[in-house]
Amino acid sequence: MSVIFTARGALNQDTFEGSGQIVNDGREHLTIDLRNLYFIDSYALVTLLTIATLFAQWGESVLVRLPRAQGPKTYMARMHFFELLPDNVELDGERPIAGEHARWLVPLTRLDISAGEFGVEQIANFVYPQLPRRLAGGFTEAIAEIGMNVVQHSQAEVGFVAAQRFEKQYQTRKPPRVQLVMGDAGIGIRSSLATVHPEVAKMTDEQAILKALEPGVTSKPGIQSGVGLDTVREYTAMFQGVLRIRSDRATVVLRRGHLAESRPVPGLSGTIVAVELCSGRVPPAGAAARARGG
Amino acid sequence: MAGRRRTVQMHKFGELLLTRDRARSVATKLPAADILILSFKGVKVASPSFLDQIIRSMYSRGVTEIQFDHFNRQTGRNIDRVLDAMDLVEAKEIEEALVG
Repeated sequence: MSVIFTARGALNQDTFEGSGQIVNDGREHLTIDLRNLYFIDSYALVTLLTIATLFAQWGESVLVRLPRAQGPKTYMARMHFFELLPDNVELDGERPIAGEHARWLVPLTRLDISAGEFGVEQIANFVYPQLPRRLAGGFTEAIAEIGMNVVQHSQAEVGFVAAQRFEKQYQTRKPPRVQLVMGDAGIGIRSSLATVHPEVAKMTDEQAILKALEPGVTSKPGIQSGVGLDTVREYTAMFQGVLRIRSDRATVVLRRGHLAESRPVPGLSGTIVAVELCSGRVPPAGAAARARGG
Repeated sequence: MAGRRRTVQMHKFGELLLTRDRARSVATKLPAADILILSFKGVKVASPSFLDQIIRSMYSRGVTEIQFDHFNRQTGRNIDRVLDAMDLVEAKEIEEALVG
């Protein structure tokens, strides 16, 4: 059974789920076809890198077809995507080389899970100086809480983090905006919570994610782990941002702290958490006219 | 009789105080006292997990009271809300232990 990811234009957190398919061709193979890619975000990069690393570790063959367009190829190189691919991953062209470091990017970084929480601190110390002052504190705390969750609960060997600062408005979100994505190939939220909340084993992945977002819920009672995803939710609400959690077979999206989307998705080991904080909101186009009765 | 009071400048341990491991490490370097005043002047971020672990570690070492100085202004967070969040985690744990 082979897995094929095909980029058709933009590959981001909204389009990612539609890009993958499973083919019963009697082979065990992963192909990431980026030839028609013109835009990719940190969410797609972290997810693809996690999947490629996992397949390579299992000894399956992995092929990456490089983007034809120079823009996304350069961006992926700057984000160290090609650098971090395991050596046994095949590329259909020369491995692109990273250019100058851009100060608005936190390139893909392997989360050193064996280093425990100090690995999380290293990333936080790296990220903090690159962020706008107003967002830096909340964002860094979110990194720490999500990172500690990965280290303590995921039982993962593979995890990546990336972040980016945006200076342009997107939809109604005012700049500067910062986005953090942390992914792991661990046991997922449902299995982790089920170790201490047996009722969670009977839940769907969507229900388990929502349970993990409740205040005070932890899968490590008694050893005092992080305050968890509820704190991250609080930050995204405070900074009018977006929190997206994909775990195994479900994705849950919260906007400004409120549930905006919850749906089943194709199964993928582990958890991807994406947080976007922004400097505020502008009214959506037409809102002023509607308010005037126009 | 008033207990021994000691004040500690937390920035000595870093500008970002985030994890429980860091808190355990810091706690071993804090002085013995009855009342411990932790000054966060110069600290940019102190996470709820860090604070909770510091509190637990120091109470287990015999400190009877911990005060937080310059916390709200330095970190932009309200210490009472942070501690409430940690109390909620603990309350849930106790509740689950009793039910379980």
